[in-house]
Amino acid sequence: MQTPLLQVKHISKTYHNSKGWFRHETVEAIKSVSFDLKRAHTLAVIGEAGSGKSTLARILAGEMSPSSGDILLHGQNLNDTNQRQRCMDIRMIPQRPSLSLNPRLRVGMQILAPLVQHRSLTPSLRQQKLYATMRDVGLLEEHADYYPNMLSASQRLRVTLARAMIVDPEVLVFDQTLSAMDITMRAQLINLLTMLQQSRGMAYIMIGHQLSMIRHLADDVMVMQQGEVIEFRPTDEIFESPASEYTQRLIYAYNELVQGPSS
Amino acid sequence: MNLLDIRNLTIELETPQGIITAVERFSLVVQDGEFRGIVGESGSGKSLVGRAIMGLLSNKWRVRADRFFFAGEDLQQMDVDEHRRFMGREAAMIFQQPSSYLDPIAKIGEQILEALPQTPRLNLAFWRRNSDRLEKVSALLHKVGIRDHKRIMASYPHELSEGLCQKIMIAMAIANEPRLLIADEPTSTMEATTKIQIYKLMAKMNQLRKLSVVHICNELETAANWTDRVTIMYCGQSVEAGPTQQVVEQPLHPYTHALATLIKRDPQRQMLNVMPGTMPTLQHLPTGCRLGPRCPRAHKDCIEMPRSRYLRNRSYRCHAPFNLEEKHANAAASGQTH
Ligand SMILES: Nc1ncnc2c1ncn2[C@@H]1O[C@H](COP(=O)(O)OP(=O)(O)OP(=O)(O)O)[C@@H](O)[C@H]1O
Ligand code: SF4
Ligand SMILES: [Mg+2]
Repeated sequence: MQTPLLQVKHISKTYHNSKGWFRHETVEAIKSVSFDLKRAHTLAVIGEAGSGKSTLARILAGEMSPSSGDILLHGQNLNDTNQRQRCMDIRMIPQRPSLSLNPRLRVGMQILAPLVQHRSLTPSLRQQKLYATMRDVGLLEEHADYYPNMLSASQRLRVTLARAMIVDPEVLVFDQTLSAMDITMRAQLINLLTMLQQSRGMAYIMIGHQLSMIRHLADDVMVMQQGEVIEFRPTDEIFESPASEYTQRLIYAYNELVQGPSS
Repeated sequence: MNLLDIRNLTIELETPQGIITAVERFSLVVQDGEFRGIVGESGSGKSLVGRAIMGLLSNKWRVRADRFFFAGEDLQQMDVDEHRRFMGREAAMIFQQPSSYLDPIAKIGEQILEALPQTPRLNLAFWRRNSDRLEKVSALLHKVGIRDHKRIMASYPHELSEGLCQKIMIAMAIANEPRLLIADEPTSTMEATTKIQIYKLMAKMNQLRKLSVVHICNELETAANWTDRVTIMYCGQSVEAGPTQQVVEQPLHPYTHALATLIKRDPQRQMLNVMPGTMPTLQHLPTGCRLGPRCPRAHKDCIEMPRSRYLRNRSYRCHAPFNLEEKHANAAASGQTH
């Protein structure tokens, strides 16, 4: 049997918040979460505010480490790989793409930044890589010389995407990136992600409550509540027969929204 | 009756680089008791229209129209303050991120009390007036579906969810018994379970209290099922308007057509049929039709800006609309051509 691209095994995270001098409070943000993600597959993670979704995203992207548990990529434990390599393998697209760009730096430089940090390439190869990646996400070569404020919101999103993809990651994590997006931009992004998934075999983890988008892109949906996984099933099943109470309320509300008042 | 009657509303902004036209010849008629949607992408001018109606635009904006009437009153005959006061009585507006419109350091109960109309009931002794007003507050909260009014009234905004805050904004909005509610993306940051509560609340107010609603949003998917009529905006213009169901099922304008295609879900996972590119900025508008560079139906006539055309209860702004050939034929057969 083929090893899944990503294996998450019993990861937990406990935060220690100090409350005054002697007291402190421990919060178990996620409790023994496990799942597998195959190549060219998409997993959506939904759940109430504070259910641990963003903590999970940040652990996956290597921004913090779990209190316990293992993450394996191609069967290799990420605790053993060096930090640099893992930051290239799993990349996160932030919640507000536009805010994550430096307004005083040309777009091309910003897309290249992770590559400069991570790899030794000749300038000409680097240039080629830049243009190829920009083409992939639907930007023009001339955009490399622009500053972020000269681009539209959707082009800026493409820039953050290009910046994540320049190091050829295998997994992209979207943390609520897609919730505040206009319909045409969202549709363009769906197409772009589908295409990249087909051509490069990338896997996606989508965090957030954009249900139309989840329905279109995700293969599986994982539902979290108070740090635990309460449901993990294929997308169609979740939409047809949600099991947990939280999921039922969410899906019924969604159906009512897109079908109109039931009168 | 026409509650709101706007013809060719133009909203311009003076900038050091010259005058920018953010909303151009925009028309909107809202009937008494109507649930109207205005759908457009970010930057299409939806919020400007809403704020112009309320008289809330600052003096760097120039607003003019061929007709700008509310409930039979000519808003252009009023000065800024009169306009604002008049609309403040007749209408109310709610926004995205309701918590940022509430005072963070005052209890909810106090804030709603302040929103109550200042009409002292002189037949009541002064100590009764206060309890009378408190009863009004709890009655308002009940109307927006909040049962545990005691707890809510004693809370501060940060202690409540966005959904609850939005309900409180709606309670304050209806305190004056307005005839129109302008809701500017009241739910766009909420998850489905909260969203539906706000939609249901607006629909209920609309039906029970004959409150007209202008619901501004950036997606057709939900507006499609909750509004009676819809106006689609692109780049500061109304590109199509009409009864929502007709607009969604038989769109005339290519832009509406693209939006409508996106919401007809296809069980097969595949590429969506979406327009390329993005909406141009107001500083770089194409000549002629503003959709031109992105439009699959563009042809040589389109270098000329299309005017709004009217066909029965619908309007559109395009030289080569979809779904019209048959319609024209039918209309001609029944002698109804305009
Ligand atoms: N204060 C301002 N100064 C300069 N331009 C502005 C200002 N406010 C709005 N605009 C411009 O006017 C146009 C319409 O803005 P408006 O806020 O009405 O858009 P919208 O359709 O409500 O968008 P959104 O969905 O993002 O709320 C936009 O192009 C915007 O850039
Ligand atoms: S006028 Fe021409 S370019 Fe504009 S929407 Fe119609 S067909 Fe497209
Ligand atoms: Mg707006």
